[in-house]
Amino acid sequence: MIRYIISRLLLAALLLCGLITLSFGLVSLLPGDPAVALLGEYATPADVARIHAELGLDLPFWDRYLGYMSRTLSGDLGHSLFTGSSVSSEILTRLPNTLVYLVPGLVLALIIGMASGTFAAYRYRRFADKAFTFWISILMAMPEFVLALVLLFVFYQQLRIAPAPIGMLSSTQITPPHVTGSIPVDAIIAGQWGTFSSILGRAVLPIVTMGLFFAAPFGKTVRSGLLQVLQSPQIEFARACGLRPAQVFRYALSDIRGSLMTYLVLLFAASLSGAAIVESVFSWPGVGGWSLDGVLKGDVPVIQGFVLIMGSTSLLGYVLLDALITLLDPRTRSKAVAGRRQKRLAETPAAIS
Amino acid sequence: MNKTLQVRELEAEFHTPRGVVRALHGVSFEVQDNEIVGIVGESGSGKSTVVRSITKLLMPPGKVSAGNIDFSGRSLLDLPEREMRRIRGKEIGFIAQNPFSALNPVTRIEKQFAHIAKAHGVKVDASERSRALQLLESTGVRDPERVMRGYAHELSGGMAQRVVIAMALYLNPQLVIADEPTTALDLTVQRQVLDTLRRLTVGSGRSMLIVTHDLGVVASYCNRVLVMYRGNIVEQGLVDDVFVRPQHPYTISLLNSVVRPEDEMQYVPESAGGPDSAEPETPDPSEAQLSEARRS
Repeated sequence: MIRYIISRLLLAALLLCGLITLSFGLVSLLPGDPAVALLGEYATPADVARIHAELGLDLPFWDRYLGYMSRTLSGDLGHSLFTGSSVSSEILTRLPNTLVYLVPGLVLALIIGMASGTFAAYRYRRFADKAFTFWISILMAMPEFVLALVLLFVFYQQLRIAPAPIGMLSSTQITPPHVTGSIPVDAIIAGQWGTFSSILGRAVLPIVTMGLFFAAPFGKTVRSGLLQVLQSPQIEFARACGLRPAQVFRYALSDIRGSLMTYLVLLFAASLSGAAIVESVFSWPGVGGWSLDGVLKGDVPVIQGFVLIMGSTSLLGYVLLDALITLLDPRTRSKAVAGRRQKRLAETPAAIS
Repeated sequence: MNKTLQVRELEAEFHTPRGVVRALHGVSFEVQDNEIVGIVGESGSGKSTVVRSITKLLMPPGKVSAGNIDFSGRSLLDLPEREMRRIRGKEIGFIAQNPFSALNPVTRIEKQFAHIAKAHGVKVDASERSRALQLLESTGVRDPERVMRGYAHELSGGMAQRVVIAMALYLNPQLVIADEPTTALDLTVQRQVLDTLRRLTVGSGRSMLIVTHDLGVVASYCNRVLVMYRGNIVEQGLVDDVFVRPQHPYTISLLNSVVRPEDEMQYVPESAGGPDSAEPETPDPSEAQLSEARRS
């Protein structure tokens, strides 16, 4: 099993190098010259050459590539062309802000999607199923910013129970003492529970936005997966053995857990990019809004940093998922664990284990 | 002789977007204690619909629309699902067609036995486990201890079907329903599995309803046979009667469709011509007779 995990990790490292190469390639793929983006259209050739030298754009290709690779691997993602702040420290302080609403949002999506999808599958073609399908279609047709605006309209403007979408902290609250630079983490360290709960309160609408937005496709996957497996001979036999409905449901779930987990990781990767839009709506100081700003300005190191963070998070998710699915299923587990030795054994007819 | 199962005027239909398809037109038959009843018929004749109606596992859009099913004094069609569940597995055992698609692929065999026991309120302990082991052994599973600790995909087809049989018989059902229990198996294994099934059912006072399209299986294992055609039972009776003196034209043509190796040997002329020139001597049932049967 250890050998299997190591082989997965090696594969992940290889893919990471590919990802860094891609992110490096972005600079040459992007239209426009970063120096021109920085200086404006009326820059003199001398100024452009100076910026090129500063950014190292005048060096030969291999020097730039290897330099970028080694700097990235050592954790230095460069500096923003416009604010001059370090991209890695910017990401480190902003990522927790994003995770504060992203992770609960996904958990909410998981719960809503699981419950409603299961309910619809068990009530197939009856009223509840039709109502579910109707709402799913509406939710799936709605971009996340529209959903966010609708929620703001109802809960902030009409009902006045949600705080204004002006970021994580209100101006009257004291910023916690600087330790890590990330406000929610610092608030916990400083023991400012009032500040922390206020952050959570402001995160409720982003959480609900994410939760509803991703519950729709996830619930749809749960419903169609369950519908298929509930008709399968395996479930028929389980029911013919008189298993309780809860046991039958667990059998059905174990059959589709692989595809559900895969879909959840896909949603997680998608949610990182969706974060950019939601953060703009709520003026949330996370990685999403920051990177969107960078993309609009053509701030190459920021874009590269965001691509790397998104890519490596998804990469990590996929590698973990792959290993988990393989090890959870006994049919693939025995092959993964024992490798070649198993294959030879299986060829002899008496082999059972 | 007591009747274990009595089915009266059973009707079932499938509600499809293109209209209602009637799958069973008033099917009536019974299964007595200690007997094996075979249901034969071509694909789509309603064999599987009958057995799924009895266990009330007919999936939507299928629906039992009329009739009466009496099982040891209870009317199954009137029972709520909660009580029907207690009957499945405990009083009516079900043997699936393909063991590999029926067994749970990610749960150990012993866990699956334990789940069945738990579902029927039987305490799962060491003696329960050894009972399952004995049952596996009596179905002819080699090294049952190892099989119990393993998964379905580690078994051969014949062994897996024996595990399914052991699960169906685990809680001592009075009636065993087998839906084409050997079609997924190799020819050589089929007979062994059927022998096992016969030994474990009628040998211990159970009855069995077996769906098959293999007339050979019916001839060698069943006491009585039901011939189904287009949702009707066109003929039923003792196997010896039905097979020797078939009354219904469909039964006659069904019996004639069986390839008999010994017959074919006779038809090959010893001197001239190859097998191509041999004319089958078995008389075709007249088309008129058959179409008359279809109309009725």
